[in-house]
Amino acid sequence: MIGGGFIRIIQAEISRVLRKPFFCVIPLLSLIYVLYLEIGAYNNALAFHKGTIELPTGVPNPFAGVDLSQMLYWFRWENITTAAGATYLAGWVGIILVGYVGAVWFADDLRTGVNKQIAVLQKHLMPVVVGKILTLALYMAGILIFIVLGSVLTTLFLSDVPGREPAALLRWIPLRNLMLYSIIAVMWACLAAMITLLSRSPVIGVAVGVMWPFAETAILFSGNSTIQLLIAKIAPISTIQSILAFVYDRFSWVIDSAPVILWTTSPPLTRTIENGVIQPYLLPISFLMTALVIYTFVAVGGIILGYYVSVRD
Amino acid sequence: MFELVEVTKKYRNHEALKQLRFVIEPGVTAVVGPNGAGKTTLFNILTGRIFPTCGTVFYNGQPVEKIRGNLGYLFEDPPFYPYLTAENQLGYFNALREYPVEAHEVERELEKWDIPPKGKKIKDFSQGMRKRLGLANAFLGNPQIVILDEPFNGLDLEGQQLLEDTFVTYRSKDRFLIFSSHQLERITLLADRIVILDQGRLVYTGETKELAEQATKVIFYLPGDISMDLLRTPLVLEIGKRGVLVTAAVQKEKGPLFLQHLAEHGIVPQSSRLLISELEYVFEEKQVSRRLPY
Repeated sequence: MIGGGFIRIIQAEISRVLRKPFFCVIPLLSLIYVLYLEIGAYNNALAFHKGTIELPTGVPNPFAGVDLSQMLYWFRWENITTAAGATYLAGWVGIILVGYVGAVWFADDLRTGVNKQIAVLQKHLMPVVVGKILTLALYMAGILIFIVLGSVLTTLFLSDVPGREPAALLRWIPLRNLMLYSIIAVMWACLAAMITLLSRSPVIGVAVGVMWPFAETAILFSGNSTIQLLIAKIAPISTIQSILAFVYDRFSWVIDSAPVILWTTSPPLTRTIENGVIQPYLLPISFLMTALVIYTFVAVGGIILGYYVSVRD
Repeated sequence: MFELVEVTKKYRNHEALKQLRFVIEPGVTAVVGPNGAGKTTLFNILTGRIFPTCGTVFYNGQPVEKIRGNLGYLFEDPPFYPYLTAENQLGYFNALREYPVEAHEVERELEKWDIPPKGKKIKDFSQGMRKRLGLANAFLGNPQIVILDEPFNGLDLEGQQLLEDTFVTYRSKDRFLIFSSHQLERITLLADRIVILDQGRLVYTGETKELAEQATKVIFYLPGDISMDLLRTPLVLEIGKRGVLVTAAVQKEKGPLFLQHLAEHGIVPQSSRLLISELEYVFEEKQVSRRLPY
């Protein structure tokens, strides 16, 4: 069961997934969500530029005198991949959709009992489970590519967007960031899938996949104890947010207030206290990536274990 | 052949199988017993999907897990993805098999079982159609070993006939068809051998014809409008009802006399069967006999 057999499993999984309406709706929902934020940011940029935005009395326009092409920096095709992916994964909606997909991915097998039929058909379950995980990874990467392409096409209909050069989409930084986003999405989807399988409950898997980001944020922001600050550096959503902050170069914005970012991620959860003041704290990217990879491996291991156990009922 | 050696399966709160020791020879074998007897657990162990708590199951001297490339299995309620069509689902299962068959064989199997037209999703299938699809999956690739859990349940008459015809092809020296059913007439008709389980214990294993020889009574199924006075004769041991039919139990040796008695009054029995004591014992003990004539 290697080579051709493995490809056959992935083809079968792709064929299955494409026939479930849920998995066709999710990319569309994701794109609509990202476009909604992008177009909002675009309109804001125009309003700031033209001075038509209503600001509180006495508050000066922070973007007065800034060139429109600079304000639309993230719409340049060399940056749109970075912006679109981070917009999707940094907000609640995106990460929740990713978790939901992960939980549902294996929930059908549990709910219908198809996993047990597969265990009768196939002595070697490992390639089947790994094939399902790889298909999930392809699907998550596909959603991100779909969002990026949707964003790129949308900019064609937005006037004054600078830097619309197709070759810019294929530069190293956008591609690297797309890869990072894919790993983040796969990690989070796999964690949700792992919970579904280990709890043998699609309901618990979906609930945890959806509620975890809220819970982690609520718990870590409810105080500033040493333990909370430590967990905030290594908890999964914190790690994701910190990587997004790195990718998005958001710290320069937070600290230096560079006036070029008009749509943003949520505040990163990684924090520290310096002189009694809470500060965003960016761990080295090598550490963050290591944490991301460890989470992914734990999730994949959990899925494999959970799948094996689930067929032995 | 399958060889079970002291096979025990314990779940958290109960023992589903208790020190089973017997062999299953090639041909058609029926596994019989009331609900909770351990039939499905036994099947799950034979397929290698679950492991016994104690004991071992061998197939031709090899661990049973190794047979999966050559095994077809029908779950009592076959599992499918509801959003797939029959051809998608069978193609999916085929792709995941150890030894997939060609696409045209998948189509042929679907045609054989007369599965609904292309494009209809499984969620819109009737119970009978789901069963047919499960059977198509179990028999796909003409496997050497087929295990069917309650295959006749929910199957329409045409499907039952189709399945019975398929059983015949497994009455050979190198193929196995193992099935469970509560329909005793069918078991005595189709199975070469019978394994009777009760509360996880082996009650009986042997050839069907040996059991039939042990039978002491014959049951006749008579038209529902028959006069009861005709049945009030010393020949008849018990009278009962099954649906619209009236049943009469007669000593086996006196069967011809009873037939003659009926013929004299212009009555033709709809059918008859031997009452096999071992089977009836198990079923009556568990009061599953409500489903049966007696």
